[in-house]
Amino acid sequence: MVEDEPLSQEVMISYIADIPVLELVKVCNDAIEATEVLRVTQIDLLFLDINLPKISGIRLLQTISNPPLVIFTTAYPEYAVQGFESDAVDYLVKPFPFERFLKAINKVTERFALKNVKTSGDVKIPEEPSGFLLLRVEKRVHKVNLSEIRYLEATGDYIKVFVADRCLIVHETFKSMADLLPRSYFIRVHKSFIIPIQRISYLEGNQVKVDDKLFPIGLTYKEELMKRLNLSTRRG
Amino acid sequence: MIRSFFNRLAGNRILQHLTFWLLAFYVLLRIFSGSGELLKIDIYYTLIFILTLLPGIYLNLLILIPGLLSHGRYILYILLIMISMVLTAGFNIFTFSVLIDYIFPGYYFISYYDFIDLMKFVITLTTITTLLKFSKGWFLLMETRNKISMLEKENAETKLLALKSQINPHFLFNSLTGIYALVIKQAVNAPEVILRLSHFLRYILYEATGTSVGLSNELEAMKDYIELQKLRAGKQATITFEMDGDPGNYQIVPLLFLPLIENSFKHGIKGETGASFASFFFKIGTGTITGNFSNNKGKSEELSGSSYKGIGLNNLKNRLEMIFPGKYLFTVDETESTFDVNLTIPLDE
Repeated sequence: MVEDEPLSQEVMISYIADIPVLELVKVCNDAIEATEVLRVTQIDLLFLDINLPKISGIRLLQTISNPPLVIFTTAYPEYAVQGFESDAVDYLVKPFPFERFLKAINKVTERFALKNVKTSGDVKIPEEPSGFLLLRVEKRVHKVNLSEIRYLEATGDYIKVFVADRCLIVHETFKSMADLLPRSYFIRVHKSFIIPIQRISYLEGNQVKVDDKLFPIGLTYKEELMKRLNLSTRRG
Repeated sequence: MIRSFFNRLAGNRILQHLTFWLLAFYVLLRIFSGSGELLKIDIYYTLIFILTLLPGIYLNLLILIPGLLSHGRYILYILLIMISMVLTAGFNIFTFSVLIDYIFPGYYFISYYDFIDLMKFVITLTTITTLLKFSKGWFLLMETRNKISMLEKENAETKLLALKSQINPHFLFNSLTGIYALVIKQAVNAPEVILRLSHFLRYILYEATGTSVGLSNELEAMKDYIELQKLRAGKQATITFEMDGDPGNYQIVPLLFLPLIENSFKHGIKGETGASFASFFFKIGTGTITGNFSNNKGKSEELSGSSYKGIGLNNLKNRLEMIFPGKYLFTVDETESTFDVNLTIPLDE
């Protein structure tokens, strides 16, 4: 983390501590300190303020040869374009709530999975998704393996996420949840249901069977579902 | 020499008209005298010829154009100008056939021109003078427009500068970020900081909008600002605010010191991660106040794309010169590691 203001540092430290998969390596006060840490340590994710003493965060990112994934944290919305141009995962405008922070981390895990696939040279999509999702339920942040998700159901302002033998109730919109899930593994079949595409056993009329449960297929989602299934059969 | 002549010409109406008639006199004289040598009688003739036209021309310039044409009464204008031109031509003929014997009894004039020819002269002259009058009006109009747009621009710029010097949106969001952090860790001073921010905003938005404010209010607002900025500074930063003298009932032009304080934080405190310092000292004298600010010279990158650049020292100087021409003292001392500014401005009772 590169952040020069103590109060913002404290907030970031407490946010990071609340997320099980994150491990804070170092808090740096400026770009020079950060460069040194990056040189000697393997860093996966960098939280980077933009308005820093001496050298700006954007400049710092330009000077690193093999940069880690970056999330910009700044009070200045006007650098967002520059920020995304430098391939940042997300751009958080201070002050931001924990939920927003969590969303950024979920984007990171998605990117991270993608990055690993790329570097291993394996382009074939594996049967089971390998990544995970961070979901906040009240005060706890749950780490949910994508491969364990059975289905998601929207109920009012909440989403029920059925994972293995548990059910997590998350306060989130269905749309933004759909965006968080990798498109190659999950599909929305109904206004209120998202299912893992690999687990479909059969279609019958306007219903789809996943594991031992039947789900209704919404009219607007049917075409997309057929298309996707065709694609996967051809590929298989 | 030539330029001064034109300048005088531009400002003097009588001179303009004289020049025009002198030119007209010369041209007509050349026409009337033909190719032959210039005779005294030609000069008299031309002179009287022009004199007979004057009433008609000036009736048009001084009464018909401003009275009718400018008010859009075109038909009446055309009617009257035509009558006036016919009368002018008629007057000319009458002058040279009847009156001339009484004016110059010793000469024998032959008017070479019939009514149609005379009408041509009258129409030409009327048209030329009318166009000249219009062009002059047009120049005046353009000049006024330029002046107005320049004034408007200056006015807008001053307003913009004043507005920008009042509040930096980044400051607001940075303060809110700080407050957010305080609330999250349930710091005991969070309510106090919120009150400071609201106090400062109220001052900026409602009190400091006029041309003068109470000095004690202004100083209180500066203190609020500095306290809020302290939130953002690291533990190694030393920030002091001191005051000497009694603000009493003095009035001050608002927010002249704020850009300087802002700069101290932006370039001094924010530009250094180690031991930075900024000290603000106000001394109130009799009818004056001196602000003595110093800070470490930090380094911070000016990011492109930022819409808010803050008020430069030059801008501040311009503003001071406008408000207190010659009655303020502003010095900047720069060493390798420190930055010192002194500003003394007058106060009103």
